[in-house]
Amino acid sequence: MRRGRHHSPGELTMQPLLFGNPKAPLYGAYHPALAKHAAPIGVVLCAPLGHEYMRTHRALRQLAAMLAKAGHHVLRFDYRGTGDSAGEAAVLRLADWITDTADAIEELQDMAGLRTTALVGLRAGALIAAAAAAGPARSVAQLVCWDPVTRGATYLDELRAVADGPWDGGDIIGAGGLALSAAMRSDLVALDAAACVPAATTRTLVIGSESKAEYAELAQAWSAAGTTTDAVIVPCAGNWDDMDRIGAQLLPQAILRAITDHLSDAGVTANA
Amino acid sequence: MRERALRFGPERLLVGILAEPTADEPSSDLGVIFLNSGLLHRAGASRLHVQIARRLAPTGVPSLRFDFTGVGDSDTRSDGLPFEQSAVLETQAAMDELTRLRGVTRFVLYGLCSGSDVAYYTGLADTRVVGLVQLDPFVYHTLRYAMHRIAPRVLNAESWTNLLTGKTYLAPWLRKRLGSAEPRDGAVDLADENVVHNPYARAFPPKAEIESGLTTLCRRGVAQLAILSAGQLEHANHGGQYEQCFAQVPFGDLLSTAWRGAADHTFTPLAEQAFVVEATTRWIASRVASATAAATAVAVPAAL
Repeated sequence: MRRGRHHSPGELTMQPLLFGNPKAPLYGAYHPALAKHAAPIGVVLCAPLGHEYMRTHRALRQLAAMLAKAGHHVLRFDYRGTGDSAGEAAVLRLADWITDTADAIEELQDMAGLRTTALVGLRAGALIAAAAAAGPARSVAQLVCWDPVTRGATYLDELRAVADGPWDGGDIIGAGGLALSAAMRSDLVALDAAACVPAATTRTLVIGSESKAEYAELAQAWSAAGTTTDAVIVPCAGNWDDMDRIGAQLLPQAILRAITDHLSDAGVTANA
Repeated sequence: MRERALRFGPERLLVGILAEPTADEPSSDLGVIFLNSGLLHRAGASRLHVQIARRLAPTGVPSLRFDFTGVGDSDTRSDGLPFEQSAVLETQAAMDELTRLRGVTRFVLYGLCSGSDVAYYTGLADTRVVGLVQLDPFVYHTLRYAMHRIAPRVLNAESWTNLLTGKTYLAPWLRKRLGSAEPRDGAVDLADENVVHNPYARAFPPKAEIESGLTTLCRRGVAQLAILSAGQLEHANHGGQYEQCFAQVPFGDLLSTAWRGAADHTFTPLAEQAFVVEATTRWIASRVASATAAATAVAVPAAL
């Protein structure tokens, strides 16, 4: 693959690939920049988990296409044990998905020939992105947390509501189609986004489709810890949980535009 | 077993994942094509396509799971062809690609809901298809269906309360007769720009049409595994309904069925996922074995 090349509109706009460990590769969808941008960045998109992963696929693809059109190189990817990537979720730990996120950044930088990268995470993907930005991907230039899961414990309560059976019914529990081990559940309980403070140099945005106190609290926590963080609400009706499971998918255009504008330095128009 | 990410088909619009045996694993002339369910991308509901593909490949059965144009990661067509036609053409393009890559000559098509419909129509259109795995396929009401639906309600006091308070499926009919307005349920109308809908509006054809099509497939020797969930109770609600509603179709031993009363439409619970994976891989293995032995009759997997 040519590195750092700008594709013209009309060309195939996405290149599917498998990357990482050849024995257990990750699936990626690389959207090369379709136009020149004064300061192009690489953007890695972190997807949600379980049933939300399925329902957000179209929205993340659309976001990738919009960012590529704005002049950015984008990589969508599946964590180990999800989507088309290798492995089974039941035997993984949260740290594996955080490592996968760092690997995706490295892959995008290698493909696009860029060193400046942003992370955009949606729902549980935002929690994973935050953990990566506070850990192995600490050099990330920008972090966008979209409708973020801010506390793993709260998220587990949501999963409990869609669990196959009793929550304490064994090591592996199904919830929203995802196999969660006891170890993964304990990893999630212990993860709080507020404790994952990105580097002070990371430009950080918490963006929500509805006003929630936890979003403002997260931004305040990170700002108090030294990472200046904006919190923005861009109202978009509908949530990731109530869509028809097969017949329709949510595509919140205003938020997609706001994130694209933010990463393109055009600013966000609606403030909380 | 190994996998490859591909672009293929006319103008390379289609994106898919090939799962194939490695050189030291068996090889078969039978391949499997996994089809999208509505707008769910090629990994399949509850990642079922991935799970089944990875079970099949080490046994020698390659597969291609791909996205129709405009779904998942595939690009959109520019010719405006209706989904009902483009989906069949694109399934055939996937079959061509699997033949090119692996020398496959016989195909099993796997689909859930709308994917099941595309499997059926492609099976009718293409004689390379020797088997269909259909989850929640076209199925029609029987007398027993009505009994299963009505009996619990007649015996349930809550049903009578609902009827009297308007909380019943008869309510719209009653309101129409009584001239009252539709109730407000507080549901949010999402702006069109915020939702993308499935281009395929699933409508069950007349039963006689499907009977005729299934009869054609049987005469060609196309085997069928039909798994029905409780996620479409408006269509099916008990085991044996599929066989009963198509009693006129000469399935012989070409048909295997399973009713999963604890499954939702997307087979979300892990136990239901495990059942579908096990039943499908065993059934497909039986297709490979039957071809290898040139058998005329195919045993129904014990798991069903």
